[in-house]
Amino acid sequence: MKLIVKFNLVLLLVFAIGFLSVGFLTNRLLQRNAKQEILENARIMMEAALAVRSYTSSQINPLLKTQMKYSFLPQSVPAYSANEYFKQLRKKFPDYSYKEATLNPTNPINRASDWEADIVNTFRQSPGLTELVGERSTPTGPALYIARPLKVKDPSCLECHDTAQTAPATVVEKYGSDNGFGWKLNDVVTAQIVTAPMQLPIQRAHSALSAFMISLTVVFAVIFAALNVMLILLVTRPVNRLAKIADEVSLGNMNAPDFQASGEDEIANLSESFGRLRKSVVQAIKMLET
Amino acid sequence: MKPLRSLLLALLWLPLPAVAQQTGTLTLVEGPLRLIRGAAVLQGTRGVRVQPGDIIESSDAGFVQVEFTGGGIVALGGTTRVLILGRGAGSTAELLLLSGWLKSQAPSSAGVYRCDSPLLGATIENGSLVLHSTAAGAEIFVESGSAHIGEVSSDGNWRDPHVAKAGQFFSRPAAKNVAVSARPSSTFVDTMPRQFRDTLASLASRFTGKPPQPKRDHEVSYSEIQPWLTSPLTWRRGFVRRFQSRLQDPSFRRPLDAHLRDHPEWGPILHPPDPKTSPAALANPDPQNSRRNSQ
Repeated sequence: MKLIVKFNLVLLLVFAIGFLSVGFLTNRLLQRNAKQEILENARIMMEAALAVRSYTSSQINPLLKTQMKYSFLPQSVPAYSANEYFKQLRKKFPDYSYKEATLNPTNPINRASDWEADIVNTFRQSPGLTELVGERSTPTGPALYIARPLKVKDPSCLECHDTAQTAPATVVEKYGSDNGFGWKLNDVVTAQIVTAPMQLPIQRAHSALSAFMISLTVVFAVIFAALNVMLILLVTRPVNRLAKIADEVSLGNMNAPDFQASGEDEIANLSESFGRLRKSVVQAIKMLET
Repeated sequence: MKPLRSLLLALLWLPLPAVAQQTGTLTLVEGPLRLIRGAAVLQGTRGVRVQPGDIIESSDAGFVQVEFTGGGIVALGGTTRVLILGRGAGSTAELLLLSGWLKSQAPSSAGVYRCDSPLLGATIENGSLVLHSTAAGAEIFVESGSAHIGEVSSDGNWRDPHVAKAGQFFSRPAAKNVAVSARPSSTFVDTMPRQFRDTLASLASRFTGKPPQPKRDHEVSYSEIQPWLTSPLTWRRGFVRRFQSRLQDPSFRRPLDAHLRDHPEWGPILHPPDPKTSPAALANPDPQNSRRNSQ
């Protein structure tokens, strides 16, 4: 087996092992980072939703108080404004979804489903718990969710959620007197939940990984080619020429051309040594002949 | 003594100080506004002071806000006719809404506001209400505070006053009794001027300087004042004296005479009884005439 073949086989083996182990580790790292990035985005979205809620209750609601005596205006409801804000956001980030899952909501659209109700109840049972992150399977594949509790902190919330008798007439007119009442101050009534499909971090990790692996392959290919060219030019070809000259000399052709090697590398040293050996051999033969 | 007496008489004829007469200020005027003061039609603009007896008439898509001394704010929707009676006894501000939309917002400092329409009337103190009046009926929505609502009889007096709570809605179709409901009708809410949905914001602080004088447009015509001349009886007290000067104008006098049946109080002015044929003259004949005749 030729030297270059041996050399290339070893190089390919090393590359294959390196490629697989680096790919595996990088994939895990990228997936973890992508997940963290998604959770971080979700947290920012939730904070923004809270800011919109606060703006609505402190500034929009008082402005619409008189109008609410004539007809119900959802714009005065913090949950509505948070959902509207997210609706706009989804135009650019369609993978994320937002819900203010409520056990006893005024608007049935906000009613917590089974798994959401479990989250709200977990928050109710663990007052110190400020965030829950998890994965759940959905018909469209696994999903990543992050949830935070929403407490009734502002007594003004109870204007609409204490009893049907004290609630604005337009609210009762719109949603009836059965839902959304009986809330208590400092109770956890809602969980803010942002969901993103797990496919999202996986896709992101995959796209980053494939870009990285392609780059790695290209770099290896360039190195492989360069090493082969260097090996051929600097080692294989001079050694072959030297071997050919040695063959001719050994067959008695003392006029075989000298091997010319420039530089001070190992091949140059070898050719110099070979030249000296050849001269010694020629002199020894001449001495024997005389 | 004669010059002194003349001076005192002249002082009596001078108008009262302007401040004493002013009831409120037009703080917001959208669209042309007709202000009938005395027998003249003036052009109402922002900043103009309104006085007791002024009639305000907004245009089709107009909106007017009047702020009264004491802090009360009254808004008028489009095509609205209102007569300001000013403050009566017990510091009650009185407004007569002949037709259109009126929102009255009276803070506690403003005292009692009484707003009457030909079918329904209301008094409100420390609250706000919306009154809508058409020929077909009248409606009142008590927005906040508590109010008294009364049916207005054809002569303009109240009967069967109700105590009304915030949120209640009163409606009275013409020639029917008042009906009360817990919520305003959707037609009322849908047709109400959009600006009425909000709390009326005070703009009075922008009009502290010398008020502009309304520009005189023309003398009031019969067609302009006819709806008022045929309004409930108690509302038109004083109209004969107020518009009597217009009788010199045939274009006013002729239609007034033609519709005399609608406002019979003008009869003695338009057709004064002949002194010769009047019952008094017949009962007490002029002795000089009798003597002359006998001669």
